[in-house]
Amino acid sequence: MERLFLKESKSTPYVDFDADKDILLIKGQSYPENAFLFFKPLLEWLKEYLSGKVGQDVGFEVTLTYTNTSSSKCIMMILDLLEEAADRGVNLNLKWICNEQNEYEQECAEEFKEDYTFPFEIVLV
Amino acid sequence: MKDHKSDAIFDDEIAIYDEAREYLNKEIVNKEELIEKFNQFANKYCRLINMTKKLCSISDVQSRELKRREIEINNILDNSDQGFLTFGQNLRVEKEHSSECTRIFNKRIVNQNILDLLHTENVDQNKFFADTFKTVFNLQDKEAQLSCLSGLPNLIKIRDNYVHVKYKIINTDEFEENSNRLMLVLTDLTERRKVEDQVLFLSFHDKLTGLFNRTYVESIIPQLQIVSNLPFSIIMADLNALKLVNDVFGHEKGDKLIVQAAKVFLKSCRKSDIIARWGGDEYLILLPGADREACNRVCENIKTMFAKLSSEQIGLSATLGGVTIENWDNDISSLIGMADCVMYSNKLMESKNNREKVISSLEKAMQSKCSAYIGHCERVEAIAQRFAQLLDLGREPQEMANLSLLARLHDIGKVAIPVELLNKRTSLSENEMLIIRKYPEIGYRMAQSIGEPILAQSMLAIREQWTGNGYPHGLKGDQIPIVARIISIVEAYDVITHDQPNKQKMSHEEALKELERCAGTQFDPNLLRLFLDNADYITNFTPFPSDAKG
Repeated sequence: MERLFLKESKSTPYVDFDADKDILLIKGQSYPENAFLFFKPLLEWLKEYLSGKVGQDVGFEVTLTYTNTSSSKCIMMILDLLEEAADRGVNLNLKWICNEQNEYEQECAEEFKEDYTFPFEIVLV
Repeated sequence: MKDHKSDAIFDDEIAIYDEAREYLNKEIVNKEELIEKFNQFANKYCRLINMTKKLCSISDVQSRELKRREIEINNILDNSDQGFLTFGQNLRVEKEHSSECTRIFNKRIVNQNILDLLHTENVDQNKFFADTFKTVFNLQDKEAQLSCLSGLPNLIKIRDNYVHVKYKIINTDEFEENSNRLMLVLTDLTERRKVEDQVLFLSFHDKLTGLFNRTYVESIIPQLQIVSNLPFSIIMADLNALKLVNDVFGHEKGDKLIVQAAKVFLKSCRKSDIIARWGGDEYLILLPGADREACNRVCENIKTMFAKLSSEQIGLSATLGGVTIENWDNDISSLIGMADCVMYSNKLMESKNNREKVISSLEKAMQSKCSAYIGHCERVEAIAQRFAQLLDLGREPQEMANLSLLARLHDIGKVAIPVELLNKRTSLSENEMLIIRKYPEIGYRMAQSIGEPILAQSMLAIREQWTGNGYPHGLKGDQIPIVARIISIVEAYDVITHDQPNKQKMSHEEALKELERCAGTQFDPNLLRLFLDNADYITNFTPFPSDAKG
């Protein structure tokens, strides 16, 4: 499957979904004018990728310093996909990286984590 | 539902809603199927609620953080003492700006036209601003914009304040095309300019008088030595009694004297003359284009004005030394030396006269402070001279001169004592006594200042007592100079026999009894005996016209 790589812009995060290494990265801020337009390819890529990963390990690393509300909804859609995949037997491991000096980032991470049952680890750096 | 570009993120939820609507349109509804469907919708609705709650929470956390950052940034900007403002192509100042802008422009600036805010009386500058801003917003290339801005003035005057301006191009909205803004960073340099101006002023001026200082004169000497300034005159002036005023009245009064003298020079000289404070009590006046006659005229002006003011201010007099040159065979520096020599030579000639003027002005000042002193010194001098004739002292002209001078000036230190104390009708407090008791020391300093060391010692001892209980040093017996011992008896007699602010006069006989009571304690017993035995002769002098013996 083709690697999905997006450079970081002022309003969108760096994205590196590498199917060969089974490592998925999102890093930066997200407040694009049309969040769905940005996240749609990510959601489609993930849907296809995760469908073939039952029984396999997949590492997901997220570092988001700021998201607007639409982006938050899209992130939740990604998390829903991960939850479904985990339910289907994909061995998912999500690390949500936060700045240990920044309580606000940790607070948001806790909110995102709530209600999901797959391994969701908040890592302070 | 309303169409919106972000609706796509709710595609799943909208699909559920559409499904529900469609289901309701079915004609036959099986009850069990209906319950099943209702259950599904309820679950999805619950999920929607959870998601919405989560989104709200995340959004709240984020907006709180954004607000916090906004306040933090505003605090930094508002406390940076710099004005930050932005405007776009319409030249209207935008909402966000630092509070310093409001202070600099002294009004609310939101939506104000920047050209109005920067408007000055300089028509060309106003037009230049308008043209440049218009051009900048029409240019696409950032380098070209910056180059255009570089021509704008960096120091402008806004409401009489000097403001340094930096121009920057910023992009305020990454989503909006053509969102270029011009940002002005304003720094009010008025205070700094004032300090710099003050430093510059002080480096070439005397702080006390505001006259030029020696550094300034030395710096302009080369520029003055030109043919068109010939003939060239210099006057060196030296205050005659600054030391005395400083010693007797304190340095504050001395400073006032220096300032008053500076005013005299300023008023007496021509506009083209350069007047400088050359040293402590020395002034230098450079008179370009002034021949000997013009120089003498200025000197006369100065002397006349000093003479007029000398009655108002003790010690306001100066000795002058003027020189004039017709060519530049001598430079200004050697000319200053020559003026200095002339001034010192004049000072020597005038010293006796100057000293007499100072003493006379001190006496007048003393009498104007307290009416009880009118005639007192003259009487003391007359009685003391008759008394001294009965002693060996009477045959020593120098000693007699010392006695007369002490008689005239024994109270002169009181000139620096507050007039309220000298005229107080009730008894003096301990602190007031301490102040009054300073007068022999003040008199001592004054006598030293006018070059009378023997008089100074006698003045210092005028309140000493035979038994050593006097002040300031507790001298006793022969340690007290004889002239001081004589004057203390004579002075006491005159004070007792004349009305004082806090005591009525006594008769001649009562006064003698009072003096006798103090024989051997306050006064020299031998001198007092002689005084008492010859009191009728000693005190029998012709009273002064304005006075009558008590």
